Amino acid sequence: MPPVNISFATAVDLGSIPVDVTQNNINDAGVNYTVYYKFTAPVGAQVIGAWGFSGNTSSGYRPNIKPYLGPAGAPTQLLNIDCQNKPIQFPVDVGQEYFLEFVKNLDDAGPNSLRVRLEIAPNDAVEVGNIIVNDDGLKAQGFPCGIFSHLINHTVRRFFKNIAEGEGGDILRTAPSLGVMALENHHDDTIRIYDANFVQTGSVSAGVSLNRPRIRTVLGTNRWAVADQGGPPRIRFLNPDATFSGLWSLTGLPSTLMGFAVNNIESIAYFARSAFSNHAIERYDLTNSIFLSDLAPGVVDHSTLDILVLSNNNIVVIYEDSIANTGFVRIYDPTGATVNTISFGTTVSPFDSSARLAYSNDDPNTFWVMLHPSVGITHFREYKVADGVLVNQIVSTAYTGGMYDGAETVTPTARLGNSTSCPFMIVPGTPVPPIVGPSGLFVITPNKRNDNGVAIPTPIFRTGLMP
Amino acid sequence: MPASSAALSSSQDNIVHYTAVRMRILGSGSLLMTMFSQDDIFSSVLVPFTMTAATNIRPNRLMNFQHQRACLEGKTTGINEWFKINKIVIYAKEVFVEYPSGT
Repeated sequence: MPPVNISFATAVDLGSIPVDVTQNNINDAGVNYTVYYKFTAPVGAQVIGAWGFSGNTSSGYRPNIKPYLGPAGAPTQLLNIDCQNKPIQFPVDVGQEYFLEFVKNLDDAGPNSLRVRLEIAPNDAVEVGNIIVNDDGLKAQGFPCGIFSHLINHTVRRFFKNIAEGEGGDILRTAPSLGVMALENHHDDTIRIYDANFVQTGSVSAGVSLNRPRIRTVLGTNRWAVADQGGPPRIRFLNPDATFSGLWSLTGLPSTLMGFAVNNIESIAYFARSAFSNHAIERYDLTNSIFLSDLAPGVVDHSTLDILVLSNNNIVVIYEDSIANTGFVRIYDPTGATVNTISFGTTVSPFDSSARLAYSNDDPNTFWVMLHPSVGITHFREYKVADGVLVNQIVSTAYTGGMYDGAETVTPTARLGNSTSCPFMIVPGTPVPPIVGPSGLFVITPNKRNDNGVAIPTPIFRTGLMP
Repeated sequence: MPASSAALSSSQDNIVHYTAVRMRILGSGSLLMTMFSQDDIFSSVLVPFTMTAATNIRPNRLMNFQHQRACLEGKTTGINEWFKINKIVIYAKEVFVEYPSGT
């Protein structure tokens, strides 16, 4: 007998989330059916992870999942998400009704089953050191910004909805603007300012297409340097109150800058032209508005997409060979002398998408890099400048356009994950020192209160009422 | 420790005089003990046990607590203090059937 839930109107209500149900009557007399489910976003839900899996991974019945916003009579597909047999993630609004359509890919003899799983993304607090990754906005507008653990692999802390989506962005790292972010919004050519709680506090328009500006924090002045691709590229400083200061037009340059950063006294801008390889790291004197000699020559077959200027004015440059899929980071001092070169190794292919750099909380001793060593996997790595030691690595699962990037599998690495081609930032602040104690035990500090002001309970027993 | 379920009888809820507690207990630190009457209306603090990790003694603490129902609470409050209890013996004797009528 054919399944009943073969339309939006007859969709099966999944009830409370999390959900794990299996439908076994997908096939009837050699015909597979497209089936429908629905749910209402519960209180507290910001993002839902959904997955419909047939059990097959390379052939046979493997349906495509599409999420919709209700009602059943006029459903609206969400964010162009259409994913075959793999997990998806999408933002939701509490109380709204959503539908999941599982579109058959073929008919066969059957039998076939469909296992449907839903989960609610966590809403844990943002902690110092966490990894912020917003979406690049290429697939559609409306993908949330993700916060990821810097301590545990494949772990989402929470998502924030309605955050700018684009390729440019950075975060301020000292008071009074600690944690304030400037993010490009690709959809309307603005740069939006968010406070440390991800509440928008301002917005600026360039007046011309920003065309994927480079936005880099100037550690010395605690504001951002912005290079937009205005044709010629223009450099300005963006203040936390969403106002611009200064304007330099780099006449004679092509319209696109890739790697870009400014030193801590705002006297020199460093940049690499376009995405083509073998470009030097150039310098521009912002005080006298003239080009200076190059900081460093280009590297054959390598392009530069990101630059940092550390608080000691050393310059961190990432080089990528998109053909050989290798890359390295080179740190220069302000004279152009090489401080260190850190290779990612030939066994690691840096790109499923472009590698990016971010400041660390241990600046200038370390910095962070985001790599994509294989399809579906992102590495967030913290390296020491002095000796290139890898001090921290977090492996995360990549979702592009809300869809699991990896191959179809019975065991996806995670049901929720990060967007890929976009900036990333480390939540600034002084990290809480790790708890030190015997394995499985914790050292309890006298009178310690947790962040909610609740005392740690004492070991206690009480008998029942006697006799 | 759950209260034992007893069949209803005429002696249920008689007034009991609790006189001592003895335990088979190992630990470190001090086990702070308190007797509570029903709904914690009355309480009586006992002299704490000083615990050791190994002992041949099952210590006793006297009390003078007279109520219809009572429970014993034990706890530690210091860092690294712990306890392991295998047996608790409450010494008690029914002394009265009821409070004066009208109580």
